[in-house]
Amino acid sequence: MVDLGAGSSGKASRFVCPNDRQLALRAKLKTGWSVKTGSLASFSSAPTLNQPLGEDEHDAIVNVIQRAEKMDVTEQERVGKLVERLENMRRNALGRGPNQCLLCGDTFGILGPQKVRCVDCGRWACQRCAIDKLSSGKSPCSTKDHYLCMICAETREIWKKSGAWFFKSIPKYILPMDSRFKRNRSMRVSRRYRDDESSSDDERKVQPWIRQRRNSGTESTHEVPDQDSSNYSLTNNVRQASASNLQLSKELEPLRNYMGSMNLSTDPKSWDESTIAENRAGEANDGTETSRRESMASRSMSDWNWSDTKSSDEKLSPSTCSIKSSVEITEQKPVDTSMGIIELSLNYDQATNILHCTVYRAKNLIPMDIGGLSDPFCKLNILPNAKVSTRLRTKTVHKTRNPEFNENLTFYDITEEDLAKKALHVLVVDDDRYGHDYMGEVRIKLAKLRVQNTIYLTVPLENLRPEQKGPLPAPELNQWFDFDLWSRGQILISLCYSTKKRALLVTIKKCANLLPMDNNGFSDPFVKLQLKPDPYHRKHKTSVKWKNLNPIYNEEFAFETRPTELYMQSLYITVFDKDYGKSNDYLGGLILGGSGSKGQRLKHWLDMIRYPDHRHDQWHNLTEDVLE
Amino acid sequence: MMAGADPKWQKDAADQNFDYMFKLLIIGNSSVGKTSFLFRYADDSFTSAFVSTVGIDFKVKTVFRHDKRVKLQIWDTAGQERYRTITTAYYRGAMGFILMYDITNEESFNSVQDWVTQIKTYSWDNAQVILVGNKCDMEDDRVISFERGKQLAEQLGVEFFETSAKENMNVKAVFERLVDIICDKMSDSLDTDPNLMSGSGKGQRLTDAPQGPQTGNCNC
Repeated sequence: MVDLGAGSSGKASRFVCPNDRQLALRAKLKTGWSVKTGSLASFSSAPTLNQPLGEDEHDAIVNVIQRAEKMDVTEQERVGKLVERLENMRRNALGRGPNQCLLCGDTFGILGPQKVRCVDCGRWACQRCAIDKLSSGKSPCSTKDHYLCMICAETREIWKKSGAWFFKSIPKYILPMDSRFKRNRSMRVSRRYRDDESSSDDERKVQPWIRQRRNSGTESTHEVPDQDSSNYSLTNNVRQASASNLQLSKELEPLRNYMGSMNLSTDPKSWDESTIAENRAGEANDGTETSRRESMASRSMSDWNWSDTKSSDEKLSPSTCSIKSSVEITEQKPVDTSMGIIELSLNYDQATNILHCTVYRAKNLIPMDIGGLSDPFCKLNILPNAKVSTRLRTKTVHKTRNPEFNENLTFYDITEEDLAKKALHVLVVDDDRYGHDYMGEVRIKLAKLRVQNTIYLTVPLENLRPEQKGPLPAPELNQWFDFDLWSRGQILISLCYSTKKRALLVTIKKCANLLPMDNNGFSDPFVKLQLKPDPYHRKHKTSVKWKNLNPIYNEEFAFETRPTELYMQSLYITVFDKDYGKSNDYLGGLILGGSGSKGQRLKHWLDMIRYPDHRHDQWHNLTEDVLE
Repeated sequence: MMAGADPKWQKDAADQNFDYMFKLLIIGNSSVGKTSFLFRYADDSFTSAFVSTVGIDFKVKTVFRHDKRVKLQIWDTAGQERYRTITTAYYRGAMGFILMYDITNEESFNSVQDWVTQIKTYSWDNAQVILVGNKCDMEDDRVISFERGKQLAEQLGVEFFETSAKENMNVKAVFERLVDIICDKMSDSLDTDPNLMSGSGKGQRLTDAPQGPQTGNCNC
């Protein structure tokens, strides 16, 4: 929300009393004062000049802001549609290699289509799959380079249509699929309320929940539309739901059969029933991608449809009794797909004690970079008692929130005893030079494999890790998760954009677990700071803390800049060991910024821009990569 | 407030059937006629009663320009100083500015320079500006000649119009011209800057609006 600034419109911000920044700009413009202090009367004639906003004014403004937010959501959905269209186009591109058209896959040749090179991406397309820039635009190019492949043409269109050309990056958007997920979630909650209080007034019930979610302060990338529009979407849901009820009775049939046949009573606690339900539903629809998406939607509907059947217990046939138990568990832990879902299969070979794990894909992962994409990979381990030998990872799939891993990972020496006690831990992480960010995890109990050799799973990722609060990793999990990344130590930084000083204030608070570089087992660390790009090439340095691996600095530095510039700038933080007589040893580095960083580092940066005049403290890991 | 309950407005705002969306901002001293100007354009209505805008407001209008449907979200800001914190927050999202003064009010003309400073401080660098002298129907009370306005606009390197929201003179022309300028800017930015889309965010920044020749005719 916008800071209404009721209190801050004090004397300091008065128009006729500009600060240094404005004076500097004035000097640049080579103009003098245009407002004379003598004519101030016209400004201050309003008696309410410096009074805080009244109740009605406040309401009026909030009303406008809400209208604007509603529009923004519509706009984000529109951009989301455009982005999805482009993504589909990219995905459907058939061309492999330079002899084929990038899009349709036709082979070039004397008899085949003539090839042209796309100006933007430099790849080859046939003339049918490219457009002539000269005929559409007016810009005169050299004779050869005037073709755009359809994908690049579409990309340009998106840049125009979304306003990205102006803001230099694609704005926030909501993919059509996301909004469906969101709707399902709000629907489930409404149902829960109904169960609790048997009231039919869904609409009023959902609102407090939404409000509560907004106030909770968690940073969600896809904002829930404000209250009025949630009313609207809710009525939609209800309609949608009632329409799907008919369909559901059909869809549920195979599920019921499966649930009935399954032997849940053998080990009811060792297995999360909801996962099986998920898994089955996913399997049943193992068709094209779209149908799978449909299944996601219908599945979560089926979740709450069961809670309906609960109320009519007596109608249940004996064969579906097992559903009842699963219903209760599903209700306790409503499936939350906000972190995305992952599909994998497990196969255990008793003869060789080998566990094969195939990670197929993940979907709808949380975005990490400023373009709303991620570079995910999975880390797999058998817990508890993690060993380095049981630590496996998939390859990284770049620039996507729906990665296709299709990778087979093998764990050796897994005894049947292990199966009973242990769980497979799957952790999805964002790959980034400056730190791997957490994108969710899931634990899968292996006990089920004792009964069944192969299982397929489609499970939602959970967010079990709160934001990194301190420098010391929690013992068990982090030991293997971050072992290789945390070796350079951590740094606690406070960022604050001061609107008064028009400057970014960076406080280097402390470092922890730095590497010892000197013979005495310590280092003499100091921190260098630089904002890039910066026309003034300012650099700052903290003092040196002698013989200390956990130095406390609490030193503040100011970089004068504008909020709009900050989106393009990055803060380079490097920690060195002070040495006399030879060059300083590099201890670790970190980049925070709009263009250069991702995940927690990006979030920290954006929070600083979004909420100026507040201190944002956060720990970050230092990387061993040497920053230029 | 004013358009919240209007079904036509809602339809317009929720409509996703358009090609581009431009956000425009009208700024200028209090009572120069920003709200009247917007009402004339969006609703084709006019009232001479002065009601000070509370903070901010906006209207939505979809127009056809060069075979494209352009949805305009036009922000009307309060000229009063006490709302400055709110209004400046919206500068950053705006692609175009209509900087308005009142031709019958010397003070509002003298403030133009300060508004330009505000734009330069808070907006994106490539935002487009048009200078508008409003109330040109009140020829008898005129204190700022057309030439002075024109001269200042040249100095600032922006385009200039004299308008009347009351008599509906040039109102549409201002918006059309602003849309054209932004459209031109848009095709330029994509054609001349191929790095822009490569996503690194390191595309060259466009420099400040070109400054006209410094004639030395200071209007202080």
